[in-house]
Amino acid sequence: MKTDKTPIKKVALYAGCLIDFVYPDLGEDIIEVLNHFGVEVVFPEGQTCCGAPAKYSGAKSSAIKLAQQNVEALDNPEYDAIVSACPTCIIVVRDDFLKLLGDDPKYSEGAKRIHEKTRDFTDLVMELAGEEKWAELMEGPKVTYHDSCHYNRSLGLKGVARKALTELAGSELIEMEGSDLCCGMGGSYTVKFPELSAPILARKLSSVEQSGADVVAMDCPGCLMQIGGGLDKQNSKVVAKHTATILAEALRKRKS
Amino acid sequence: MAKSVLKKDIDVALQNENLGGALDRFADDYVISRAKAYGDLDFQEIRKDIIEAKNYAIEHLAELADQFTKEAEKKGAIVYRAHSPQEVKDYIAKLAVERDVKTIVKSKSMATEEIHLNKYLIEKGITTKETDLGEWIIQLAGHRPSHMVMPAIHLTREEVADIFSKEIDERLESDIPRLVKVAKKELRPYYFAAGMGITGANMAVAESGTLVLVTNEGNARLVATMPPIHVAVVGLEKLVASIDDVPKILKALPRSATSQKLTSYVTVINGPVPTLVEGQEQPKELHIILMDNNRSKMQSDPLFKEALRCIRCASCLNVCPVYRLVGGHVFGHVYAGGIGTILTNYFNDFEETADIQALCIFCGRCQEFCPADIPLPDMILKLREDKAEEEGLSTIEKAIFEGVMTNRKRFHGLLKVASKGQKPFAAKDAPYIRHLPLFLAGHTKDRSLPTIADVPLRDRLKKKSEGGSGTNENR
Amino acid sequence: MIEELYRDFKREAEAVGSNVYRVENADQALVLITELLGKWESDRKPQGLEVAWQRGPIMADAQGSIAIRGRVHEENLPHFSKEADVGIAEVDLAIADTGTLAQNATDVVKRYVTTLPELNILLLTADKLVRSMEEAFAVMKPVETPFLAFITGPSRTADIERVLTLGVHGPEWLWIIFVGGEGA
Repeated sequence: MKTDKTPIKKVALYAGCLIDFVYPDLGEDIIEVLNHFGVEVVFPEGQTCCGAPAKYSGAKSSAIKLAQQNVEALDNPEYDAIVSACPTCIIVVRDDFLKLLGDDPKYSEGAKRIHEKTRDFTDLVMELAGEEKWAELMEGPKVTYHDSCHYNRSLGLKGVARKALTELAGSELIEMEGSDLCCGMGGSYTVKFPELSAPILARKLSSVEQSGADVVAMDCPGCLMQIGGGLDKQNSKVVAKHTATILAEALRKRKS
Repeated sequence: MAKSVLKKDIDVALQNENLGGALDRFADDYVISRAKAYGDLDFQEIRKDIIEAKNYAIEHLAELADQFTKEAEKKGAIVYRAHSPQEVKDYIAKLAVERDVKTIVKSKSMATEEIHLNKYLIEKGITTKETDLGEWIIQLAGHRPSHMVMPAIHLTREEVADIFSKEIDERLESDIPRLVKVAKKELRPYYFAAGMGITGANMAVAESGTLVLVTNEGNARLVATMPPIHVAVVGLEKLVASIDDVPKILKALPRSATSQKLTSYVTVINGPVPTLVEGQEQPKELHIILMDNNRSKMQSDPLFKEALRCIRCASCLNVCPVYRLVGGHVFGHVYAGGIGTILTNYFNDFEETADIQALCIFCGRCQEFCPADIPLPDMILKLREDKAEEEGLSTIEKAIFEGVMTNRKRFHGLLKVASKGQKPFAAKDAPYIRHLPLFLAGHTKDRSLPTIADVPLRDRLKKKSEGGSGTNENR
Repeated sequence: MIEELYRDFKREAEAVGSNVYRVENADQALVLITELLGKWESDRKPQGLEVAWQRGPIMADAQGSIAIRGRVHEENLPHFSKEADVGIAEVDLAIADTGTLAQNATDVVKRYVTTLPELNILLLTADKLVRSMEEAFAVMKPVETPFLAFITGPSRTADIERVLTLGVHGPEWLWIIFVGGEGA
């Protein structure tokens, strides 16, 4: 493990609704990869929806309630980090909890501690991996990468994920046109304005197909739902995967 | 009510193939041509300079307005401080009447669009001619602008040809250079006939009372030269402290607005200039109206004051995935797109206007391209919060958030029920729901939904840890 | 340095639709103008061009007038500018970075001559070249000059379908002539 900060030995996995209830396999992939680096992963049971849907609907009081519940579940000195693989959740857990609860004497300290510990999964993996390689370059699948809006613009991690895919998993990375254009999910936006979400998705699917890749990778389960669902609807040969899944697959292949 | 108006407007826009085509071509071209214009320049450095200059101006807004007034008056300009749109309109109308002005020529000014100045003057019987090509087109068409820089972007050349044909009573081809020549010929006499010329200003320098106009067509030069009276309507947010701030903004404005290194014309005005009235040279009458219209209200809000940094380049519109689909008449009022949401909230009354902030998908691309790094998504979210507080959430949202999601056991319980209830709709070969029934069918029209897992992650991990192997097992 | 500036200026100015020329002195400028306008006239207005020429310090010593079929006006310029095909004037500075000309246009005649005719011929001396807008601001007195004009190419619009069209309300053609200096 290479890091000049606190050595990461035990982390709490903050799954978020999609990974918890829709993509549990993805959750297990995350745990598997982190375990490989000797990191113990626990799943604090008290965790619940981060509140992003409430946030983006302007439902502040609900967002506050959910923040409180999650702080209670996640604030624990035993955790060296709180790891998530959903950028929207990361922003809420890391930054919004602090904003919402900053003046609340019961929760403000906890929110601050959580703010300092919350990490993105792939970002943490690259930190832990150092010089490790799990596959030779170009040995992995032909992958194109979708820059999820929050992952790219709010967390600034577009380079990190590409590095993980090529250097750790040996993927052949093919850039698609407009890789950083929105997929149209927007959380609950796709439910409120399906007539706008659909053409935005259509453009993304077209770019994916035209890239010639077999896999489209991303670091956001929301985008995974949108793009994966779109590709399925079109009977596409291209498969949508979260970066964590590609990393776990590369790891398993290496170990077999 | 507002929501259903919005939905209808969206539908109309999406059906409009002309609009869609125009916006699509634009969105695709813009990023490429903008990158070419910026070349090797460091966008982040340019932003830093603009942010510094504009933040200073915002913090010292009242002071700079006073300083500008003093300096411009020293040079012989008449400066009027207008608080409301009505004050601006009354001032200009009164001036026109006092000077017996029958015709006014205008060059492009979003500030005058904001207050619907033309309508007011025309109602008072004063011929008011827009000379900016895009503005003239929409004036003839009776449309509001759909974009801050290219107000007629929503119209095709055929539609423009139709509009011009009606105006000059002559059947015109939709040949663009020809149409432009028609506009030139039609509008040229007005510069000489007009008793007053009205412009906006892109920047107003406080230390020297200087106005800066950034244009391409040449009409602002004519509007500021020929008529004996020049009225400049300037929003307070145009103020900068020093002349040195001007080149900083000029580095970004043309590049971000129209992918040019510089516009064809940059006109710097200091006080009244000589003008010719019936062949005799005399100093022009220069009136500068510094307009507030809630800009100082914005300045007093710690979040929204950052929107006063806007240099009106419209890049936020140009890169917005939603603007690209529906255009500025749906995603805007007078000002459009991300910044339009914020400005409309302060500068215009809402009432029947659809609730445009709902259209934001929070992708953040607007802020990424903004030369002043305005936190548009944060601001739009705040508007959404304020609206929810004021109007309350919809019944469904209330039920979901307050009734279900904040109660963890109930929430997870319902998901479990859903994981059972979805079975009839789940595909056999993959974990997808490809067709939802009845009124929900729209949600699986363009993409399949994933099924809810039989056993959620938390239960799997619980099982594992109860079974002894734990979630922390090293493999 | 001047050579590099000139090269950059020419490239940028041509990229926005200007034509850029260089001559050694005022007489040569006159010869060039006569030649160019002669061709222009026979191509576009064989019945004769109307020219509004504001002769300033640069062209003051040039001998004679422009020998074309049409009429060259040096007096009563505001009046003749209205119907003129060509406006000739002198400017003060050039900016290499953007192919821009700067002119103290407080004199109302300068403004008539440079805004109304469809072809503008603008002259300046070759030593008046700077790199950037910042440098131009340092030279041109932007806090005092009543009307300071920066001109970058012909007038243009993209308001109809974003199709770029040169020549809207202002000139459609811009010819820039540098007079004097080394290496012309």
